[in-house]
Amino acid sequence: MRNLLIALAVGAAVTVRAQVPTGPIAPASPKAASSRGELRVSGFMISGDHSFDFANSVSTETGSIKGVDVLLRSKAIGISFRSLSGTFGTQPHLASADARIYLFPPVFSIMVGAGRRALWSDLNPDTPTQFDIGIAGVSSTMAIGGSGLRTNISGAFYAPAGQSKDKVKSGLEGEASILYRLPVVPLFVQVGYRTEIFTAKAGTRETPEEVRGVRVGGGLQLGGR
Amino acid sequence: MRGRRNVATLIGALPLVLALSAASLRAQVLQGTSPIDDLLKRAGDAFNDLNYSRADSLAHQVLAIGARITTAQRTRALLVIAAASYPEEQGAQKRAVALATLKQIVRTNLALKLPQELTWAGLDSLVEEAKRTTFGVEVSGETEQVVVGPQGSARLHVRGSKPGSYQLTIMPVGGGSAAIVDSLATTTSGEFTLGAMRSERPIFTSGEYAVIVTGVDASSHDTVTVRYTARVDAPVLEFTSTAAKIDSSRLLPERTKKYGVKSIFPGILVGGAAFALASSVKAQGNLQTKLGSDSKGAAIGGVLALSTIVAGFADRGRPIPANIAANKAYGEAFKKSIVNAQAENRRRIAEYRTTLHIDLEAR
Repeated sequence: MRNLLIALAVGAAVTVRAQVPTGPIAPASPKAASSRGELRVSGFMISGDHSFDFANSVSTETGSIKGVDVLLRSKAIGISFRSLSGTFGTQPHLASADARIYLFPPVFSIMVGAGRRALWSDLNPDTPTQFDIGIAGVSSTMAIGGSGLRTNISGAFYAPAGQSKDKVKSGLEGEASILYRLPVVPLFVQVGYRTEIFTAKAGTRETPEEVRGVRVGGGLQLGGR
Repeated sequence: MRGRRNVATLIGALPLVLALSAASLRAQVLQGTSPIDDLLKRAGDAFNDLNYSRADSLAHQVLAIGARITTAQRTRALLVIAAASYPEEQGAQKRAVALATLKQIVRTNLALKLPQELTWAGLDSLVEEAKRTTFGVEVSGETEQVVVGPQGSARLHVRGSKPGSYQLTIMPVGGGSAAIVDSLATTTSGEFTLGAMRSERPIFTSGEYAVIVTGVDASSHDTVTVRYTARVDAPVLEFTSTAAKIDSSRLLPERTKKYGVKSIFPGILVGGAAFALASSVKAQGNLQTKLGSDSKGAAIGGVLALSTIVAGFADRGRPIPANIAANKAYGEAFKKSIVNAQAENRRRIAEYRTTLHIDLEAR
């Protein structure tokens, strides 16, 4: 049997520095990630009051508006479509649909569009009173860093348009909301407040009305980060 | 009277003559081996002239020189002493002295064969007796051996005249701990196998080493120690190293800065807008005067503002893809550099060469 015992290593081994990359190569333009475009398809509900002044009598009813909203936009241009209908107690039912074009980036966009507004009662569901309107306004959507939250403020004027020019005096809408996109799934929720003012006219008689309430919605969102 | 004076003069001058002779001999020794060889030749000549006592005396003078004589010279001197102690003339034979001298040679020279000019049948039989009764050790191997990598090894063969155990020790001549100790259990012959690396590090540094083989007779426990010298060429083994972990201070930011306080402005803006829409934006006419503010507007405005500000402070920043990619590339390059360094070190270990020049002339 043999037994090998190495009592002591007296040899020398030294260490020299190897070639190691000194650091990452900084990119020329280290921009934060952002989507080139956005597609948003949502359903929403506005829970609030509908008031109108008819023959010096103010009527206010509580109810809700339900609708769908589709938005497709790139960084410089976008298009949206909205359709809604609402019921407020015994007051005439309300429906509207519009299409808009957005110009310039979301942080500040100019929007122009056209829509049709209709009022009808249960007594004459087949012959609603319809108003064609032109829409012009501004919209601002700001992302709060990478949190997934965005604020949205928009306002627009309604102007008489189309064949019902003489039935529309003016109108405006305003909305302030926040949109939160979920981190993993492409879904978002929206909470805000919306006010719509519309004044119809028939000859010298004007019928102002307004809808205002809390807007809650949500849906699919692709991009838009 | 005059003759006595001359003798007295010679006696008086004798210390000086001896001193001069000794000085001359020492000078010759220092200059080379020829004076020793000359002494050995003279001892051999004296033996041939049947002047055994002079041959013995001259051979002892050679041995007296000590460590400066070579093994061959020492063996030759011992052979002359043995031959002079056991000549054919029975009257001059000192058998015990001859046998002891021959045993002394055989201990480290198992293949001893007397030169023709010194031996005769009786002395040959005495040599055989010495070999038969003495425990001797003989070490052999290649004088220059190259050991490559951790698996490579040098070999030294050891043979004993009787079964015995053997131990090999290699240690620096200049002192220090043994570099290698190896042993062989009871056997008549075996092989020491010497690695030159331990734990993938060199065992040796370049320099002179003593190679000591000790044999112990298994039955009589007679011990023989043979000492050789070896020169080791062991270059320094250089390893490449890399940082143990990536230098995080060099990494590029992978996210933008937190939104933080910047969220206060949009928060107030969206909250204020909601509040204004609920309280200040009204239709004209009676609606403007008769309708009050919507109390829900203040609440929802507060919710919007607060949510925005909280989101701003909870924000971790937006990812920066270009920086993420650059950091990833840096990490991969770093990993690759480590893999390359490890591969290079493995190659250096595997190809590391230690050369042993072993002088197998016993000291």
